[in-house]
Amino acid sequence: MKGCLKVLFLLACLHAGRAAAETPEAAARDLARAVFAAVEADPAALSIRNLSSLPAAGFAEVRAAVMAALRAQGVRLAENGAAEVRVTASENLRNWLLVAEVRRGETRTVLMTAWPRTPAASAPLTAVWLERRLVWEQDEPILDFVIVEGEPERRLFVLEPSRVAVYGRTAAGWEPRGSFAVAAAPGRDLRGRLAVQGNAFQAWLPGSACRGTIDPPALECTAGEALWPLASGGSLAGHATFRAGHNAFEGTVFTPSGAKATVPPFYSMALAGSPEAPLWVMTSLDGRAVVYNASFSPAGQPISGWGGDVAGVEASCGAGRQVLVSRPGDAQEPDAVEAWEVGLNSAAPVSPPLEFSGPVTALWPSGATSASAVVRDPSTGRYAAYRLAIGCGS
Amino acid sequence: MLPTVWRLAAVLSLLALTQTAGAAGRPRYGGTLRVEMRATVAALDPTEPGDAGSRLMPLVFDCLVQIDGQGRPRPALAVSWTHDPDHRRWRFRLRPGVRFHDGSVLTAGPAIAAALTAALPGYTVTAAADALAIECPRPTPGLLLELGRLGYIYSRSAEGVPTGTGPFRLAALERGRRAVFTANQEYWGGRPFLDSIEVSMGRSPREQWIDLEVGKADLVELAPADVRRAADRDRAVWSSAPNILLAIVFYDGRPADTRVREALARSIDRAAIHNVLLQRRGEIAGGLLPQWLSGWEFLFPSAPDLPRARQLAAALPPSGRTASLAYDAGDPLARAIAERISLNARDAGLTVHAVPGNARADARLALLPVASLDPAQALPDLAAALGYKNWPRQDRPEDVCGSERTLLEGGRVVPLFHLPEDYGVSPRVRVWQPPAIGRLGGWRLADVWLDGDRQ
Repeated sequence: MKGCLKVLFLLACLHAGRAAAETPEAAARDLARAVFAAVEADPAALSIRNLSSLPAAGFAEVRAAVMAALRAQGVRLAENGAAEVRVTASENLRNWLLVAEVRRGETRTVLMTAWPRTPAASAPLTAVWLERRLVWEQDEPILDFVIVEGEPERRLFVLEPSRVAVYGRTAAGWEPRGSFAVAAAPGRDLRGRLAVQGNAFQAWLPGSACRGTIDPPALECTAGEALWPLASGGSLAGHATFRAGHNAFEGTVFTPSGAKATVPPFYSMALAGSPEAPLWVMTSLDGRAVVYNASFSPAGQPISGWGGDVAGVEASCGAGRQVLVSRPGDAQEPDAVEAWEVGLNSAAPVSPPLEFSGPVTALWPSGATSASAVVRDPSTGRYAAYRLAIGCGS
Repeated sequence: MLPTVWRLAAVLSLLALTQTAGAAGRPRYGGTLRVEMRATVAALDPTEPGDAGSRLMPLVFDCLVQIDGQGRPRPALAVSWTHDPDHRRWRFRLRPGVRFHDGSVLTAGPAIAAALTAALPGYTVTAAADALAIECPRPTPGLLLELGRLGYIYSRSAEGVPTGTGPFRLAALERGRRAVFTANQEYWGGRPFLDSIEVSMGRSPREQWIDLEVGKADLVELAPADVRRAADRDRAVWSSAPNILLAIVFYDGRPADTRVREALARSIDRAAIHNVLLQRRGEIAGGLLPQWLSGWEFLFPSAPDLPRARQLAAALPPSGRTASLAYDAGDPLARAIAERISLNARDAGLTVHAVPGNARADARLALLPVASLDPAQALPDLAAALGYKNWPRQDRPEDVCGSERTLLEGGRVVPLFHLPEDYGVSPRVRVWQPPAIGRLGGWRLADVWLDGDRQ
């Protein structure tokens, strides 16, 4: 006979008006209650299978929960039971499902319970020459983030397209402390920068620049094309205007000494070379990275094979200045960050790639030996904020 | 001192310095995406979408909410919403500052209420200030999914032409031939990366493939057999979820003896067709709703049962052991599948004539799109496509499953496969926020960009 048979009226009453269970254990309990009613007092032969994408460990937990719930409910399990109960772990777009097919003689009853799917766990942390530490995950895009060590607590500032969210560190993790509304000009590949100094913070978004304080809570934003800071290796390299409604910097750069230079528009920059003879590495819109000398004249040949994001760091090894580089590729693909050293006519990777499951959507320097990276998980759409640190080792 | 391996890498990387550009990274603005499709669209109107039009609709029109790649509702023209505990009364706050393509401002006025009422018959929509209230005739926890697929917001000009707020404006539409869309510079979600999209309609599968091969098209439809060929030639393939039900649909009352239908249904070797003709694209179907959507399709068997089919056929009078199966004459794959089904039927003792077109046939091979991400709504929609008017909607999973079984037992439809919509993509096409093809096949091209075009 084809398909699922009608659900017993008694079960319809049991389930009427109920919301889906919240956990697999609760779903297993609901299912066990319904199975108990379906088999009545007959012993039941039980089989459980997995047709879902639950991994083996996850399915083992579900299986254990079902077994425990059936026993707790008083269902008698026997290999040659008068009733046959086949439980299938399945899934649809929104829920995990437990589907029980109960056969008693000519009667077949189908029972279902569900619990919501949860986002996939983040990738395990690894530690190599380039180290990463997962700081925060959320559904909303993260444009930049800053961790501030201080009293009375560590604080995490997260810049989103429409707000700056502030979190405080407790034994239970990061807990919300407040948020400040900001507004960027509409953009598809929104970018932003965040800087925190003591009680004050600044945020730069396309078409908007904001200044605020935590205590008292205050924020003031100015619309227009403001100068964004260009940082590298923990120091300020200059300023440039970011194009509102686009995803790149204008080509006019102001150095800390007040000099003004014009280069083609660029996505990001990092300082390479030595402090005495700095090189500006800028990722241009044609997919290449261009190296400029201190006078902003092109130096050496453009570098291809990089993604659009770079961040300058200064590890106390090698040439002293490294450029963290994202990988080119489509936005569905896994990404990676690796450290390069760039000279006048050379560019070489100096670390193994640090792999990510999805594209790096933001990469900004956050200190002499660290950078902030934001990665979008293509399977869940969630954003993860990582602190990257470059270490010296063999 | 650098390890040896990194010294080697350094030498190799010097080679990279001399290479030309072309690597993708951050998206770039500009360029025209050239798209080809077999179907033709005469007009773009949310009240008469049609299968082909429903793909183009998201380019021009927005909904209150949008459904992301994981099937979750996200704010679109509504920035927030609330509902009562019964999911009967909903309230949506509109996004401020949004403009229609004709320059008028989006407000919660009667035009919006009328648009939603047309999309949701039986629902009461009222507008006040910056908010919309929707009262459902029954508890509707899946309302957001429905709003995300057909709750397009538009206003009509004096001539009755609908205007949207979407990422692209319809710049030109030559009925059934060509459509041109240009970027909406003021789009609330940010200007699309593309400058424009040109859609050529009425292109045969062969023409589309050739145009992709010679670089005259960027995005073309692929038949299942072409997917592997595209991959072999380093063409990316974008796909929807398996959302198209390929099924045998019997015309009302034909053949009169239901045993013919059942014998035919039990004779079909879906696995062989899936492996050979479909090149393993899509999924074998026993139910109407795909497994990824319902989670219970496995309950409906799909394996052939030749002994039972022969038994049923043998019980028929010799003159009653025939049937005719129509297929789309312009679709070579449909013809091959119909002929394969005819061979399977012969093994069971039936004579099934595969005939092009649909004149006077007993049944047809039909492609039925699954139109909703909510199984509770998708099933009555499929029932309507099968000719069942006012098929009752159920909400609890067990009841939807039972309703699906009742539909199958009606004997009017034999599910065969759930197929994805596949597209071949030229190497210069990238997407910043995948997927570019929604689960149900809608085009989300605002985040597509072209590698190689200047900003």
